[in-house]
Amino acid sequence: MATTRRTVVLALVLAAGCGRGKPRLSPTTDEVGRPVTPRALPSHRVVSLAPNVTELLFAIGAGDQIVGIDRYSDQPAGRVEHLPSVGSDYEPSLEKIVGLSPDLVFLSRSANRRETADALERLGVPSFITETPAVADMPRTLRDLGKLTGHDADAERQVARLQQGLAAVRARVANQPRPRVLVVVWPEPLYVAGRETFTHDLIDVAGGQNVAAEVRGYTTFPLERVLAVAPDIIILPTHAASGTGDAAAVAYWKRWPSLPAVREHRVFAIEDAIISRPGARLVQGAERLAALLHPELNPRP
Amino acid sequence: MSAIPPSRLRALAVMAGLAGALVLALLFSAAAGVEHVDWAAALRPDTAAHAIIFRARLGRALLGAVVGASLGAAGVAFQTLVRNPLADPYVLGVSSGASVGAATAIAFGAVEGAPVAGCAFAGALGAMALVYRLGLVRGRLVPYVALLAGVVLNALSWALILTIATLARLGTTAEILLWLMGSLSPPAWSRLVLTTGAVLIGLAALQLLAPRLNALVLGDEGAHSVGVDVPRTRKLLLVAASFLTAAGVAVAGPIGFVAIIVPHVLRLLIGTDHRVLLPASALGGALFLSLCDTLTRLAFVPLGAEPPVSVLTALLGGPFFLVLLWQRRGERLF
Repeated sequence: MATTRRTVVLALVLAAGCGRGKPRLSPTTDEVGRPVTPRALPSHRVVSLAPNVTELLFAIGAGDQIVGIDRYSDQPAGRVEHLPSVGSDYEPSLEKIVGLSPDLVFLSRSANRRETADALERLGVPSFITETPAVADMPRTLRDLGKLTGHDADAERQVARLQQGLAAVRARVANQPRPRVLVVVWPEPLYVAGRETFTHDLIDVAGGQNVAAEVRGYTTFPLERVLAVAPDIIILPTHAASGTGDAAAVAYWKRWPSLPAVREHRVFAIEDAIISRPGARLVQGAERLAALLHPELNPRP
Repeated sequence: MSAIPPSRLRALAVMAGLAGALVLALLFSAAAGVEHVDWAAALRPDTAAHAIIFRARLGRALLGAVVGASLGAAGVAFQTLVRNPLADPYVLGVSSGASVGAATAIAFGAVEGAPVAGCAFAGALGAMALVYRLGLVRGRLVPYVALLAGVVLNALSWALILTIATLARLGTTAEILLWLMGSLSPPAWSRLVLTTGAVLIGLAALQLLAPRLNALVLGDEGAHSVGVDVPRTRKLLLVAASFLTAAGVAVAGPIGFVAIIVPHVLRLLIGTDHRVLLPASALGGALFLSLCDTLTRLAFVPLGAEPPVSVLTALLGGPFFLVLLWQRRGERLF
């Protein structure tokens, strides 16, 4: 008898819980097609395991919902420093993540491993893998993050801001000649940014032509082809926002004086995150590239 | 008038052949590439054609020849030093030391070749000094102790490299890995001259030790009986061969296979007289590595990317060596 009454009470409580309008948690699929069931929707406690996701979460106003980040998440500066780190993107501490009891963990296909998501799954922690291979994929990732964290409207505003920002840069350089640009990610052995990279997309937006468009992704490239196609501008993405080592990276190219970019001092170091990361600062990256590619539009006093 | 022994004639013929082939390989490297170049324009400095032929192609091939020479000769020296046909210059920790040096430089933000090469060279010499000291037992260098120390140092260095890569900034891990794969880049002339100088010093030192290396092949007792100071010879040999390796590894990273294969091929062809085996292995290493590197450059056309040169040294050298091994089965190999 007592058991029956308790069952009835329990059923009522459960029914009441549903009745308070908590959305039913049906599985959704992440950007690589895995089924995901967040512990709560919108997720109020989230962990980000990729620097670009961290940036985007802050951009859509979900920064306060982040309870843990990977150790490479460095932006937005001043906001991420106090957040608990759960380790590297490649090998995060699973027990730290579980200990933070997140509703959902965000990963990025390019920064993290699928194994991490599988291991979290086995520990009962739901995870969502984002995949943002091109600038054109940014709206989808922004909207997914917005939907899952309950910031749909903010995500929509960020999509508009990104699209309008890039369109404005594109419009500004539309009638200018397009300089030929090479992006060197590492000098020895020579690695460059080919097509199907964020950097390639942004060079196009900023009114330049990538001379390494024949190769795909970040890959090796023959130095003699660089010498033969003689790019007008060489862009050197560097890791440090502080710019340490930038001067040495630029000076390295002085050994190839036949290159117009070298002769005309148009070899530039630039923070790699703003031109290669699917983060929240792509408009800034496009503007910076446009200023370097088209100094005629930005006369400096 | 005494006749020159036929084995000597054969050795001289092989050396002359290698030297001729090396010259041809360097000319081939200057002529072959993914770009069509106007040779008339190449004679004027500050043209793209000049930079392509003399620096991007020939400079890189020359660096390949110098590094290959260092690895070929060092391979002979290490195999005789530890009396083991599997020994290569990396087994005693020299390349691990170089890798720790390079990884540290890259982690601290070095992007240009010279600081990385400098730190790699320092790391290689540091590892050599450590292995040398650990290998000394009552003042004598004991090969198996040095070998054991080298193997453990390799493992330790690898752990250090992974630690550095783990603690480094995002992106740096990939850059450290690029260095570890080994590659040749067109060098600044100053670096080519420095490397060539260091390699020539190492080669000359080994050449002076060649008669004593011949005695070491007889075993300790045998070497002692023909008047060779075995402990002293071993010490000199380790220092000279490690120095040689350090010079090569510092500029190119650890390139595999050259130091194993070239000495064995030449032992099969001309025997174990180190007076000719050492220079022949230097020439053979130079020829082999510069040729493989030129093919690496050309591989961009079908592959759309330049593979690490170690891929070609193994792909080309491996089958060649196996065929030779099959043809000479039953003969003494070492």
